[in-house]
Amino acid sequence: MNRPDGSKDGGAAMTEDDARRVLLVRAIEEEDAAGDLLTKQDRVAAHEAGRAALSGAGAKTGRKGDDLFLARRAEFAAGRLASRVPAIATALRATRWPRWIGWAVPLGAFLIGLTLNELASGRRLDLLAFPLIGMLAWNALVYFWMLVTLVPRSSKGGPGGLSRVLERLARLGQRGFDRATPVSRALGRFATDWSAASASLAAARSARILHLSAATFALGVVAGIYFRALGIEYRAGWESTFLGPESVHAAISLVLGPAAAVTGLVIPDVAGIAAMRWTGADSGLDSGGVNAGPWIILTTATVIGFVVIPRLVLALLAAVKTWRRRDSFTLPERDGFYFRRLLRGAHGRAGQVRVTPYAYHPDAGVREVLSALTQDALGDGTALQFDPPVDYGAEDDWLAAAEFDADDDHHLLLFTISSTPEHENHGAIASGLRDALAVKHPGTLVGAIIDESPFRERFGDNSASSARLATRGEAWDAVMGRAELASLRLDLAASDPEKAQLMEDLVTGKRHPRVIP
Amino acid sequence: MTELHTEGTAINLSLISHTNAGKTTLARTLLGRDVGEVRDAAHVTDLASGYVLVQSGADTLMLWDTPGFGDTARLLDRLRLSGNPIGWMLTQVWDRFRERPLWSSQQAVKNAREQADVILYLVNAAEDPAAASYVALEMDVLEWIGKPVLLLLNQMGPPREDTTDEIMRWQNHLGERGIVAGALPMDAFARVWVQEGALLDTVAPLLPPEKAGAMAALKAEWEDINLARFRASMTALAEALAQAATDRESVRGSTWRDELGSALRAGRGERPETREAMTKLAERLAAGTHSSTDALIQLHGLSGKASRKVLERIAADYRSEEKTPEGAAALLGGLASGAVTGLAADLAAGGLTLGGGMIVGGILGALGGGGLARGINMAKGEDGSVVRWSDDFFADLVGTSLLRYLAVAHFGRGRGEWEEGEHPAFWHDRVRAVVEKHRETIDRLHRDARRMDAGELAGGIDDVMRQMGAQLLIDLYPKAAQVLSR
Repeated sequence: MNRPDGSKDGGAAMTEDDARRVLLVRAIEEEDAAGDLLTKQDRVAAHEAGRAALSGAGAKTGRKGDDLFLARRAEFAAGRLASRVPAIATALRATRWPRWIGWAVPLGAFLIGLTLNELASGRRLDLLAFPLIGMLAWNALVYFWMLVTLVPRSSKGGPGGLSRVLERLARLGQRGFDRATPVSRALGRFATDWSAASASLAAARSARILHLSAATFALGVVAGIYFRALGIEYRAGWESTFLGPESVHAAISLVLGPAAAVTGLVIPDVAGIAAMRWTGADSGLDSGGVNAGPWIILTTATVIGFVVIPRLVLALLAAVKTWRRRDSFTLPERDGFYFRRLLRGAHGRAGQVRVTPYAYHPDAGVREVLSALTQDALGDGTALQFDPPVDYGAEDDWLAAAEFDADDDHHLLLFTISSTPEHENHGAIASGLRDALAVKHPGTLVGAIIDESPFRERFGDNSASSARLATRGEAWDAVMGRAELASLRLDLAASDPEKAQLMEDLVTGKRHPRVIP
Repeated sequence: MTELHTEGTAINLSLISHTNAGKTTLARTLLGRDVGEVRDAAHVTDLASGYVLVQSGADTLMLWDTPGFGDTARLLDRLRLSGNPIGWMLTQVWDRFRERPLWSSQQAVKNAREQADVILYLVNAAEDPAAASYVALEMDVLEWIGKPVLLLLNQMGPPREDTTDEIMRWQNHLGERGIVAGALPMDAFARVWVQEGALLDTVAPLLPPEKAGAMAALKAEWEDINLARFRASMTALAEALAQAATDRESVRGSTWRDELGSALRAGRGERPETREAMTKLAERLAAGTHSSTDALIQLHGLSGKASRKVLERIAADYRSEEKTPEGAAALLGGLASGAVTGLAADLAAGGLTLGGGMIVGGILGALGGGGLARGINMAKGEDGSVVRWSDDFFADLVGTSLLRYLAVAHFGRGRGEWEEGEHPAFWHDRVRAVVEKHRETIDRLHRDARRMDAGELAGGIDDVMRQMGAQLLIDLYPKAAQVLSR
């Protein structure tokens, strides 16, 4: 398969581009519950594409395999989506990190550094003044700050102010979308998801660029000095209101000492420093100072040693971090329902749901709708198995004889709202099943569905029958609540996204039994 | 039960069923009184109570409302273990509150065994017979009791043209149960008196021979009461119709030719004087509809809370007719809807706004457009022109009167809890067919109205109304022929 980021299937499973597509497809699938954009057929095909990658050469297992499945599935789905909806292709492009920032910002910094001397004070190389001392001080402050923040590694904090600006730059291509359509909702959600998920990667990238820019800026400043020094004679000197030659000597020895040691140049003694003081009331050009040549070398060596080299090392570290994060992306909410649902079928074992109708013989239509809803809620490969209906009153025998499969992810009881719920029967099978599975297979989630379709079909849809349905529903809630079983009343005559949502709540255990004391 | 010294014979019908099948609601409907407690939940009724359904001298037909069966499967398991199941059951001591299902079942069995001549076993027809397996279990219990059983299908939903399928479904399900002597639809919310008559006819042959005489007398009494009510209903409607047929209003200061001309041409361009006359006519029609509906409600023992519901339903009925705005039906639908909506509002306001603008507005609204020419005839009066209802309009008025009768007669007593919406469409078709069949007579009566007063005309209308009413009931419920041919 042609992959735009050039990474190979053999590498780590989830790259940045993979993750971007996964999150995009997730946003689409969750906002487009009706399957208008990504149809059921597409989802099945995407599922197959993911599985094909898994079963290919060098098949992976465990989390890496899961990631590979998610990545290839999303790649397939995103391909279909992007070819259908231009806005989706645009969104995928617009959320990519713009590479030009990586070289444009450092280049800009170099140019700024280069031109800085032009704005400075004529021919003087002022030993105590900006930009040299200022730049060194600024970098010292940055190193100190990094040292301080290194200790409690706060990885949770989002990107800093500057990197946020960069991120915004990266999202320049995004337009405001009309929130009314599923596509626009999905893209809005994707933008939010993506900026949160890629925050740490963006932070690493920003760090790399900023360190590099600091180095090029320093180089620019130094280069600027050399450049000008070719054509004019710099005079090195100092002046101060408060400091005497002793203090200045001490300061210069501290700052330029290491450079002097490396280059073999000698820093003058106190008398020599005193001689370099600018003299004269108006600080005329030739009224003090010495030829700046050795000082420029000393300064350059200092800048390279204190700024350029450390910054380049830091930039390299950030780059390594960037590459690592880019090629092995950590998905947010990786253990959330959406991914678990997708992964259930990834390794060949789809979700398994067992349905036991009680005092109800659901017809083929009802079975079909329930099956569709379950697949919407649990994933496309979910298998639904219907038990033969349990007769009214036969709950004790059934519970005694029933064999439960540890592989059942869910066990649902199916009732009809046409029956009057009785604590001794409908309630008994509910609490009995709940208790039995809690002991035998605590991994199986138990719930009850009360089908409203037979009632609606018979009594029609009007205010009077609705009121009656509501009363009957309350009776059911009371009986199921007393049995402490999560229950859901649904009209199983037709499937719709809203019902799938409710169903999802039920089968994921988000719906709690209404316990009635 | 120890025999007291009584002269009369009591025939006892016990309503038995699984819990919450609607026994109390049906008892209320059959008795025409709000007895017991009604709620959509299991085990609401906890003691059996008897009510007099019909009385003939010292003889009475009693209806027993019992607590429903519950937890039947477990109960039956235990019953099967005992050599004398019913004896065992009746000697058990269950706690009325903690073991409610068992206590209720015991009360039901006690009542059936000690009181019942015939057991009316009620099923919730909304359930699938195959899934409602408690029915078979409870039939086992009833078999031990050994009394004849009639299956009543409750919760049928809105009245339907054909209920045989439903009856067959249940009868097939219960197979060859010797004790089930028959099955009848009997929806507590939408049954009519002729269905009750069919029930009594089915009960009679199941009674012990010594009670046959009393039953015949009671049946006769029941028929007298119901036929009298039917006739009185038709008379009440006929009187209102006679008023409408003879009603006329003169239009001030115009020649009838001008009026007729403009009405036929545009339908809307009537002069204020004509409109005023029509308003007066419509007001009187609304008042007549109001009082005749009230009379029907009184006759059927539905006054009070129920009467408002009846009116609302009739109004809803006509509104549904309005959806097919074609010909006279649409015209009449709009008219009656306006009238009845006004009546309902009037009733809500304690009867103080009779004849208010709302009613009249509704009627005149319906008479807009082509309806005007159809609904109202202009005639030459002694001094200028006169408006009166047209032939077509009158025939439609007859039809809606019959519909109103059906609505009231089917109205059950479960309304406190719920009610259906509109009436079934097939009623409208049947009514239209019956009116069409008698159209000549109706037109003749309407022509007679030009020279008769309402009193003279009412007798003739009453006759044709009875014929049509009886015809309609027989069309809908063929078994009614037996009663109505009397």
